[in-house]
Amino acid sequence: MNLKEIREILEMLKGTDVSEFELGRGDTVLKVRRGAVPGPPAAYAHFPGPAAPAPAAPRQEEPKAPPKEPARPAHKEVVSPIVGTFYRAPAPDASPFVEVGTRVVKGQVLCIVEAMKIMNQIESDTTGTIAAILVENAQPVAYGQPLFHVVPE
Amino acid sequence: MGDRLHRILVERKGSFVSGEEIAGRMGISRAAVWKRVMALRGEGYAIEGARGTGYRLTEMPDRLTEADLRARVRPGGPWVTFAVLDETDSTNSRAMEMAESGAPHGTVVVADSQTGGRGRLGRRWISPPGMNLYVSLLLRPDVPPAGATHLSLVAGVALADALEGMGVPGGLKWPNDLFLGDRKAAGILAEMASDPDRVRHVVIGVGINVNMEPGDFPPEISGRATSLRIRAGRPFPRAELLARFLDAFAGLYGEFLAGGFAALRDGWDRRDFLRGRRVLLRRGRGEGWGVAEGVDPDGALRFRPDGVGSAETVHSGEILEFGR
Repeated sequence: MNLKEIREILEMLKGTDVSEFELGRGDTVLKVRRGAVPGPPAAYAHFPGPAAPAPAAPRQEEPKAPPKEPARPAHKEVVSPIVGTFYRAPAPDASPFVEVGTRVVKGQVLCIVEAMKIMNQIESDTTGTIAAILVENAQPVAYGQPLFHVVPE
Repeated sequence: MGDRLHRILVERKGSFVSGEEIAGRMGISRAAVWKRVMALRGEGYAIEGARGTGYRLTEMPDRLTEADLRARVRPGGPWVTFAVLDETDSTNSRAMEMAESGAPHGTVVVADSQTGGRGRLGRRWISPPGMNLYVSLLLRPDVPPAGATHLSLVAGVALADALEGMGVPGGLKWPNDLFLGDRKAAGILAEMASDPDRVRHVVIGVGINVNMEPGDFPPEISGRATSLRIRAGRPFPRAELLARFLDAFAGLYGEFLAGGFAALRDGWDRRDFLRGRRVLLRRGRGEGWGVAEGVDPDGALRFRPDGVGSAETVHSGEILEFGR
């Protein structure tokens, strides 16, 4: 999926009443959510932070007006770049790199995915807040499998 | 300091060189020669001095120095920077830090001892001074993260090549432990930092038990660990072993980048320590017995669980126990 295709898909959705749209192709998944966020998605069910009302909903001056552009997704997904085992901490008795609600900065290590004894540090490519941790510690993960939701600031 | 003297004594190692000759070749007084001999002795060189006969070098210290390593590795290879440390917490930690601050591809970090030597998942790697090798390689391969996990296996094959070159053939326990007989003599811990689509850097840490004696191991691992010296019954010069490993790795790394793991698979297969053995495999939180059936072209372990007809492909897991 390239940028041109994505632009075409967004163009196509304009003027329809589609509010959510998901398209998977190969390892890539495009998720589009349009308009005001209707309610907290399931992923936020565990979100403990007090300062998170309707996270990252588009800040429209007039909420009732249909947005001109599709809404920015409310969270970004951090996916595993390799097949391996997911570790939340650098060692079994160490505290986890992050918890739900942790504020992270771009480049901060979120977890380790290990394969063939290479410990791959997965970093956040966003500054924001961890909204969900999608895999349990020490569980196998697939290539491209979502690991975290991060709500960008 | 003492470089000329060092060279003169090394080229005539075992025989006497007169103080007069040394003084003449170095253009210094005989008293100055004596001072430099004392300094070399302080560095661990065994130099006999006999009045009227001169000096004789009988034993060189097994020291690791940048100049020595540079002189030993094959010219034109990838190793551009050597950081040789007396003591550090962990060569992997040093190399990861150096990577973050921009150290180049081909940086080698070596320490004589480690105060916080690490194995997988925070386990300890016993790292006493003066007898073993602790080295980390910093690489910046232009590959996606999934293509770099094999570097862990590349390092294992390079290690086995280096040891074989010194007359100590070993086996490789997937993914990359080196075994001599039924005991572990070297381990590899690799760490990687990557963006979603490309590797930023990989650090490959290797710990080799070179000249440890049985009494040097703590009791909790003494039944499972060994060293080259214990296996072969003689000590090994660390610098030579390290240079051989670096050369072997450089060659295999080139082959790997050009042809993938398939290019090294023969080198792996003939040392496969687990093939055909019953093994206890831990994956995630589960563990179970089965049979190890070699590695696939991608470097993953083929494991046939007990009671199952076909082998599974394992990218991440740990062999906790193995049978004969």
